Amino acid sequence: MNKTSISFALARFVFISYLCLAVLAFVVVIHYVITSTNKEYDEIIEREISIITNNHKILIEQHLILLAEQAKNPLYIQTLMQPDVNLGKVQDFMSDLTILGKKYGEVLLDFEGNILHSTVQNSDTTYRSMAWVDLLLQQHENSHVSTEKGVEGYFWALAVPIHYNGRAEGVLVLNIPIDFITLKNESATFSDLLVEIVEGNNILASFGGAVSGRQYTEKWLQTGVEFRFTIDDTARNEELARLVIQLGSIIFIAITITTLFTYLFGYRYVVKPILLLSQATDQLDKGDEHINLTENIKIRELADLFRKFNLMTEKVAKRELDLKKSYSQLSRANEELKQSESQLVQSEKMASIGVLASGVAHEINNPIGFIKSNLIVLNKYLVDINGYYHASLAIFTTEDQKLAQSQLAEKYDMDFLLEDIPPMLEGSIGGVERVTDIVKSLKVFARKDLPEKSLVDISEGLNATLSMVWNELKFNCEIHLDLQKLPKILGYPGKLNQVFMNLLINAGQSIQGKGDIFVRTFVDDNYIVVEVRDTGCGIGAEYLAQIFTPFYTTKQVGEGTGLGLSISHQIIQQHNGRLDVSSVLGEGSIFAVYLPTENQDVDPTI
Amino acid sequence: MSKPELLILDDEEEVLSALNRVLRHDFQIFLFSDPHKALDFFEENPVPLVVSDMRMPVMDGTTFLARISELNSKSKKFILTGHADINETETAATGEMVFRHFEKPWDNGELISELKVAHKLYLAEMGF
Repeated sequence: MNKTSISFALARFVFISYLCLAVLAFVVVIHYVITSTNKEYDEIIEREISIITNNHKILIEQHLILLAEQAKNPLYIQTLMQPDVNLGKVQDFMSDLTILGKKYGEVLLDFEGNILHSTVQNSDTTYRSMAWVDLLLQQHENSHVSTEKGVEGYFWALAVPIHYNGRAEGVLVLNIPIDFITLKNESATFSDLLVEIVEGNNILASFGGAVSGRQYTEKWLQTGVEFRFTIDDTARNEELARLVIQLGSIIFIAITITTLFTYLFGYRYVVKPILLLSQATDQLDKGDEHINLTENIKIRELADLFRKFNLMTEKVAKRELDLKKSYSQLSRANEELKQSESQLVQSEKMASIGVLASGVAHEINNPIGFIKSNLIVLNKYLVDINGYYHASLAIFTTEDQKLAQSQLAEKYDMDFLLEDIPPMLEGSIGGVERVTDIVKSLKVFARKDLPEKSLVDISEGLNATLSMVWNELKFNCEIHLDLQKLPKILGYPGKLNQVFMNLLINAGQSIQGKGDIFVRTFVDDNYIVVEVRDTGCGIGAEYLAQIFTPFYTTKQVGEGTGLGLSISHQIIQQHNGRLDVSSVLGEGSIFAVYLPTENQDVDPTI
Repeated sequence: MSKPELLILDDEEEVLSALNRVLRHDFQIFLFSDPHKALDFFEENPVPLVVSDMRMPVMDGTTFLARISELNSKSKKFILTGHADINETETAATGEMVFRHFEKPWDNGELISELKVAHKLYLAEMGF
C-alpha cells in the first residue's frame, strides 16, 4: 500500500476542502456578479433604447407639427378650391419648402385622394387606395404617421388634413426617408449596436454593424413599426470571462498557497517532530548512548510524547548502565573466580604433588637408607677382607703353596675383584647420594607453603627446581648457571619454585633440537633478579601482550594449559615483584623475575 | 665397661639389619619390628637408648616414644624418619621428648657419635 506523509495528507485534506469551499463561493459570487451586471446592463440598455426611440418619435412628431403648420398655408386651400388657377403657385411654393432646414418630398392630395402636386421624384404611389387617407379626409384622424414603400425604398409618410370651414378638403403628405435620422453612433455607450426598424417581418432600415446578441424590441403602436435593437455582448462576456478567470486564478493561487502553508505547517509542527522521534528510536535501536530530544515543541501532545520519550530513554540508559555495571562486575568477578580457580587448581596440584613427594620420599628413603648404610659397611667389610686376604698370603711360604695360591687367585681373578670392588662401591654410594639429592630436592620443591610468607632462600629453591626439571631438559639443552649469593626474602617458597619451574620448562619447550638455557641470579638495586634466557624460537611481538592472559596458549593440546605464565605473573605480583619479558622471534626469549628485597607488605618483625 | 644398650624399632627388617651392621661394634642392640614386643621388652629392660622409625603400620613413632617415655622418661629417644622436613608438624608433635631426629638415609658416623653423646648424657643424668 502506498503510504503518504502526515503533512501531505493534511495538505491534501486542506486543499480538497478549500477547493470545495472555493468552488461554492466562486459559483455564488459569479452568479451574483453576472446577475447584478446583467441587471445594470439591462437598465442601461433599456434607458438607451427608450432614449433612441423617444428621440425618434419626438423628431417625427416635430415634423408632423411643422407639417400641420405648413398645411395651414392659405395657398393649399386656394389650390384645393381652385386647382386649375393655383396649381402653378403651389408648385413653386412646394418646391421651396423645407422642414427644419431640410428638403423632403411632399405630396398634396385633393378631397378624393388624388395627387394634385408631388415633389417626390419617381413616385408611383397611389394614395386613393390607402385607408389612412380616407380616415384623414373623413376627419377621423388629425394626423397620420406610417411607413410606406417607395421606389427608393421605405420612407416615413407623415400626413395632415387641410381644413377649410371645419372640413377636410385635402391632405398634405410628407415623405421622409426612413434613414433620415442617423442612428448609428448616436450613442457612445453601445459601440456594437444594431438598430433595425421593422414592420411585420420586413426590415425597413438598419443601422450599425453586423452583430449578434440579445435583441430588444420597442413597439411604436401608433404606426405599427418596431425598433429592434441587437446588442453585441461578446465584449461583456469577455469581460465576465476575464473576471471569472481572474477570480478563479486568485482563488486557486490562494488555495495553493494555503495548501503549501498547511504542508509546511504540518511538516514543521507534526512531521518533523515525528521524524525526530523516529530517528531517535532508530538510534536507540542501534544502541547509541543517551538521546535527549528537545521538548520545545509547540504541539502539546507531541511535546508530551517527547518528554515521555526522554524519560523513557533516560530510564533505559540508566538501566543499561546498571546492567553494564553489573555485567562488568560479574565478568570481573568471573575473571577473578577463574583466576583463583586456576590458581587453586594449580596449588591443589602442587599440594598433591607435595603429598605424593612426601610419600615417595619416605618410600625411597627407607631402602636408600639401608642401601647406603650397607654399602658403607660393605666397604668396611671389604677393607677387612682385603686385609685378611693379603695377610693370608703371607701364610704361604713354599713355592708350591704360593703357586697353588696364585693359580687359585688367578682362577677367581682375585686381584681384579679386590681392585674393582672399591670403585664399584664408591660408584654405588655416589649413585645413592644422587638419589638422595633428588629426593631432597623433591621435598624442597614440593614444600607446602604456609599461609603466611616465610623467609625463603631463592638459591635453594632454584637449585631444587633445576634438579627437578633437569631430567626434562638434559637431552636437548645445555644449562649454564651463573648464580650469585642472594639474600633471603619473605615469600612463598613453593609458589616461587613453581614460577622457576614454569620458566625453565617453557625455555626447554621453546628449544627445538639443541639449545642453551642461561640461568642467572643477581641483586640489582633492591631487587633479586632471576633471569632465564633461552636460545629457542622466541615469541612474536603480536603475542607478547597476551602471554600473561589466562588460558592463552600456542602450544598443542596436552602440552600446555595456557595457565603457566598467567599464574607465574600472579605469584610474582603477590611478592610485589614483576615478571619482565623480552623476546626476538627466532633468537630466543628472556624472562626476568624481579623480587624486592625490602618494602614487603609483611610485618618486618617476623 | 659394657656396651650401651640400644633398642631399635623399625617395621622394615632390612633397615634393622643395616643399623645392626653399623652399630653392633659400639652398642648392645635389641632389634624389633613390632612396637608391642618392643614395649614389652622395654618394660622389662628400660634401656638408655631408643631409636624408632616414624611411620609404621601398627603404631607411629610419636606414639611409641610417648609410651616409652611413660615407662622411662630418662631414656634418650631418637627418631629415624624417611620424610623429615616435609611434615614439620610431626616433628613439632614429638617436641622435646626426642633427643634428635635422624633422616633416612642416615650418616653412619653421625649416628654413632650422636648416640654416644646421648648415652654419656644419660649416664650423667643417672648420676654415674
